[in-house]
Amino acid sequence: MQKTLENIFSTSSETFKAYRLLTPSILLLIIVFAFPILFLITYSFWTQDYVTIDTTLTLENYKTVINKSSYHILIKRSLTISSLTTIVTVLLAYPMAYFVAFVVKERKLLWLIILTIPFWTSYLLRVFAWKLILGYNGVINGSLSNLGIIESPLSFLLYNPFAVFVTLAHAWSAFAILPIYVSLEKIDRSLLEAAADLGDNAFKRFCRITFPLSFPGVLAASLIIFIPTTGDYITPKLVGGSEGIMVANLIQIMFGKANNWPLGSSIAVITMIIVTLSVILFVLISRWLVSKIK
Amino acid sequence: MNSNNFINIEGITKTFGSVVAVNNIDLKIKQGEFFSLLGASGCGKTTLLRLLAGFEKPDNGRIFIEDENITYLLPNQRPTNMVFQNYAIFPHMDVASNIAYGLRKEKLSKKELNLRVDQYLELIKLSGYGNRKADQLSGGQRQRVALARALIIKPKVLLLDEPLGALDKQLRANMQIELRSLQKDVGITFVFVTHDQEESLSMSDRVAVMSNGNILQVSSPDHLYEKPENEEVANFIGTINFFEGRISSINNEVYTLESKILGVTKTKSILNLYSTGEEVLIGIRPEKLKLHTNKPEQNVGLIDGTVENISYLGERSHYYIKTEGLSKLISVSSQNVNRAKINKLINDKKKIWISFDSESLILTKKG
Amino acid sequence: MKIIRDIFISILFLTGFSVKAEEAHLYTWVDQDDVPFIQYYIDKYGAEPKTSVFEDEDEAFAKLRAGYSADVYGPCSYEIPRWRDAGLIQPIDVSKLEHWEKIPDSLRNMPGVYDDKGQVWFIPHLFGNTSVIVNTKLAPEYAGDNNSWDILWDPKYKGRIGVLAGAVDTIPLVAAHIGVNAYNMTDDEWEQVKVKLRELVVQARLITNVTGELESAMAQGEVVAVEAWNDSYNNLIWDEEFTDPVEYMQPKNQKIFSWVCGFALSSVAGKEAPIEKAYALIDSGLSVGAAQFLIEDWGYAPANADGFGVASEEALELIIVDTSDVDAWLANTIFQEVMPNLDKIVEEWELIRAGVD
Ligand SMILES: Nc1ncnc2c1ncn2[C@@H]1O[C@H](COP(=O)(O)OP(=O)(O)O)[C@@H](O)[C@H]1O
Ligand SMILES: [Mg+2]
Repeated sequence: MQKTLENIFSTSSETFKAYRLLTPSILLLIIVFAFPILFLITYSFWTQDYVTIDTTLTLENYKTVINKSSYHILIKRSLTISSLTTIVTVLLAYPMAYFVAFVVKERKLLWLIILTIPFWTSYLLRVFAWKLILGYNGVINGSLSNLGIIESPLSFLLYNPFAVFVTLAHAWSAFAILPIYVSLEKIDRSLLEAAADLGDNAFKRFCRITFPLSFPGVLAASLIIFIPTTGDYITPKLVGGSEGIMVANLIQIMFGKANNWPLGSSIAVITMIIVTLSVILFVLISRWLVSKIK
Repeated sequence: MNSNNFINIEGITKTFGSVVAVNNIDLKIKQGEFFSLLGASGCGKTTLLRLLAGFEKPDNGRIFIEDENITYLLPNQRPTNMVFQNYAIFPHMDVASNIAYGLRKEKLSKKELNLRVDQYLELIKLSGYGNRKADQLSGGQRQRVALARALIIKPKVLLLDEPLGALDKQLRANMQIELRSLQKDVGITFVFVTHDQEESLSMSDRVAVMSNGNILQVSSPDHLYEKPENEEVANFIGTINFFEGRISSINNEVYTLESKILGVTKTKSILNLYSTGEEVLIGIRPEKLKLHTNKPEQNVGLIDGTVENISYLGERSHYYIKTEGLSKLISVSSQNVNRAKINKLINDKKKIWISFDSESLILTKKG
Repeated sequence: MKIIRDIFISILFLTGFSVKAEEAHLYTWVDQDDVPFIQYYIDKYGAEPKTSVFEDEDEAFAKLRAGYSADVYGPCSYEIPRWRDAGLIQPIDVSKLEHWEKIPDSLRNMPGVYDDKGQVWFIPHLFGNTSVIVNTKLAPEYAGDNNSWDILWDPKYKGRIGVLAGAVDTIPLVAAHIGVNAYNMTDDEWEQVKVKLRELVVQARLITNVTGELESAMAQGEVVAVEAWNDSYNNLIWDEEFTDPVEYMQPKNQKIFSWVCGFALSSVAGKEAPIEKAYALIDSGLSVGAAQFLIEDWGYAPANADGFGVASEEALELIIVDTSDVDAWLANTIFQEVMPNLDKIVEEWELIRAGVD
């Protein structure tokens, strides 16, 4: 076996040698990425009754998902929360990235590290930290009542979609800052001088030059946040309350307590399709809008 | 205001840390003039231009355009426009949008806007290129787009920072002519930065030669060449042979000079810069020297020597002559009319003679 | 080729194939592998059994179905039917157990232990209760004789209620409150229960699997009452910073729930380690030492009734069981079982929790 493989590889061209070097990574990709997705798709066409899996291919699960309005509400809710998270995170990350790219002159790396500190701590830790901040006796309520602004703790801070998206926005800000920073840093400063020279004030320069040129970074940041947050289930579970439960929580339940992997798979597949379509739509529309900037 | 100080720069100084990039410069530029800033790399040309454009704030001094003090105006508030060294074409816009960039604030109708853009596309000979993206253009095309983009908003002054520097030789020569005629057509004052002396001489109405943040001389190109005011300028513009000498007497703008190599000569100078007995440098351009194989019939204006070296330059050759009492070689430029004869003599190491006309001597201070 | 071999071996390891083990393997809830629970085994064989843990039974069930296995599992009683039907466990020969006779009759005959054919599938290990803990300082009208689960729906305490997320706990409790037996309910009855569940979701401040969250919400005064297990009650009493009076509700006309966790014998038990060792592992959990540890450290009641005789007075007071007659006390509670149609109920409960059903 070893001999034959060795022969196949050695008689081949340079490109083949390159592939040979890549083999471990391709293998890894197949194992950790392609294989589970194929598995998921296959499962979504099966059915499960109690403890037996029926492997006859059927569209039954998809029909269920398409006809069940409560699933649709959950999917819509997830998309809303993750869109909001994406928007808020990018809006917060942009000025920070801008600051490092344009205002900071020295020690940019240090600044980047400081701004991306959330990224250096564990995800769960960040979620719990927000629970402590937003909680009943948390930092916000504590300070407000110490200042005498409130008499009893505010309860609307935690266990709702607001808490979910604050937590997500913070957790993902580092992922937004970096691509935006890179795209801003790449902008040739003479373009901005040229725009000023042609009559633009600082605001117009930003709208007509800086923003469109940093847009690829904004786009990358948006996708990096939007895609995984739609599928997050830890944060909604811990801080979301009832209204903050998202579609991933349903999928998790299907694979766990509700014990219906096939239905869970088809919800996952449909969610994936919807996310992909939204992303394509978003990319096309925003690209078109940016290309309209003159 | 008179048209002679359309742009008036008064005592401008700009330092970067310990580097004095522009050192207390005074300069007046006329309306409609093609004005060049010439100097070696790092002498402060770009900085002076950026001070005019408003990208740098001076440490000291003031700048006026048409008597308006613009020293502290922002770039977008100044009647100047700039063609950048790298052209700074907006990569996310097509050619038409680049050209129309500065026009948008004028709130023209779409039709009018397109008309104006087309007009300028034609001016820069890029009609039909409106929809191209910046990365689909050649260097020369980008340069012209940058030019149109700046000209379309009709600035009072166009600032150009080595705009031809990135082009190849042939294209560059063409663009020099085009740029010059374009400037004549539009009648806008051009301030043109270059480190190429030939370029500045061929294009400009006047040239300011800069060195280490200072202006050495401001003159018309021919004056600059024929009457450089100091050794540095003379050396920077073309080649020159310098000889040591002394002014033995001055009589009504006629200077009598004594020199070991040149002998006693007389020359004119209107500038009242020198005094009797002063040690000076006497310069003479290589093409003003004449090569003789037989001793000519004259006693003054004659040097003898042997040819050490020849460099062949096509329509002419440079001969390097060794003469007694001078360690440097004298450079003589001669049209290649009678080359074979001269070359033969040289191979035989025979003595040759150089003659010159005292009119063509250049008197400069010894620095 | 070495790389491929290494990958193959690591996959084998990850998926749980392992080198032959001499010792029996216990797969149970987190912390239920503490030393007192396996001490008997160690004494008997002079070696520690192999242990691994799960955080909830669904995780365990999924992992076992995917091919993981051990000799003895530690599920709760309501899990037994599903695990049996999936072929994960085998009948237990109780005559091989030293401590079987120590278990009170009511536990030995509870649902899930015997099947129709008289075979034993489940050995009780410990039990606790599901009811409501109330802060009687904040809600004095529900104190003592006025204990009532009504507090969960009391409009006065809207947003100040905590609820367990687990369907096994909450659904039978809500059903029982409106007189429905969740273990045998019609579709109509289920619809009625759902109405109450929806109200509960609106009423609740938090619905969680993490009992610690319920406890801290109580301790901070964020909520006045929580549906909870009795160990949460213990923890609140032990909490020195929390001084409000709390009661573990035993409403007058309402039986509270008892849940029982224990041991099941893996269908592959005896294959790798001798089957006697698997039985010894079960006996370890049933030992008096383990029982005492359960009462004193965990606040749970042990299945081995001898444990009540050796535990401290103080600890005994806090487990709400009447230890003088455990059988009678248990008979006055409802044993948690498996709800028919559990999967569907779980899904619908999840949607109700999300506020979309
Ligand atoms: N932004 C700057 N920071 C520091 N030094 C500068 C800066 N711009 C120019 N200089 C220095 O000023 C001097 C003049 O530069 P510049 O005006 O660019 O010269 P030129 O255009 O004639 O080549 C150089 O020594 C240069 O290093
Ligand atoms: Mg320069």
